[in-house]
Amino acid sequence: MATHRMDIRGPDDLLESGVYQDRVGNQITAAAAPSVGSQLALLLADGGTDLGWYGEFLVPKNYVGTPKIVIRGILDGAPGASDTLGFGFRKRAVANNEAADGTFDAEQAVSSTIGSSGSAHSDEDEVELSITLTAGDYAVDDSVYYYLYIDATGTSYTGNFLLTGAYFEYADA
Amino acid sequence: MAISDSDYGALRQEVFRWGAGKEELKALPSLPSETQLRAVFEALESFWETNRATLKAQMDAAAGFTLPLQLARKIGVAWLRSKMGRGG
Repeated sequence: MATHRMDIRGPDDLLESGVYQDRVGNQITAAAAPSVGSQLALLLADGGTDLGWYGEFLVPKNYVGTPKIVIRGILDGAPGASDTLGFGFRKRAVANNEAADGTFDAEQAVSSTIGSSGSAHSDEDEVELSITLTAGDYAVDDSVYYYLYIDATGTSYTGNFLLTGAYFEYADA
Repeated sequence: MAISDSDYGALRQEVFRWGAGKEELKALPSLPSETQLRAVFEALESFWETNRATLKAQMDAAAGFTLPLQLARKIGVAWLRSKMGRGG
């Protein structure tokens, strides 16, 4: 059995108002180029309400279980000692010939203390967070329509989060 | 005076831009929490709501006539930009 990570972002993602793509170097004090400053990131922040994007991905042919959503990015601003960063995921997973439209399933979320009383992340550090999903919700070849967002309830960090990756993690046979 | 989540989000986004507050925020040992930042915005909101009618009356009295509201607002914005640009 192996664990895989599949990028779930794509060109048809719909960004909510206030979410936008930017050069990392426009947001952080980047090192001399070539550096991470030349990369493109999705700028997310807790704007008092959930804020993220809508997208879609296909469950891979070799999916067996242990699904997660993995979020990677860069902090823009030093977190306070007890500051938390949280993400939420809502989705509708449907097979061929199944009704696609419908309200997304309930939120599954992660919230982590990123300041010194938790993982001790600093300004401009790389961050990884994982949302554990329900294995039975997914089947091979399902279309997963989703909403992935900074969860205002689970976030007290006020800086920007420069998202560089979002992945569907799963185990194969 | 409480502000809405959308007002908080818009203000936070505005302040977290280079040249608009980001340099100073990044220089802090840690960023203010949402509670702290929201309280600062609400203090400004309270001050403005409490004093704006008095300010308009003083501007009218100084001018010797009733300034149109939009003109008074634009003069106020120009003054604030000029004042803050001088480090005031």
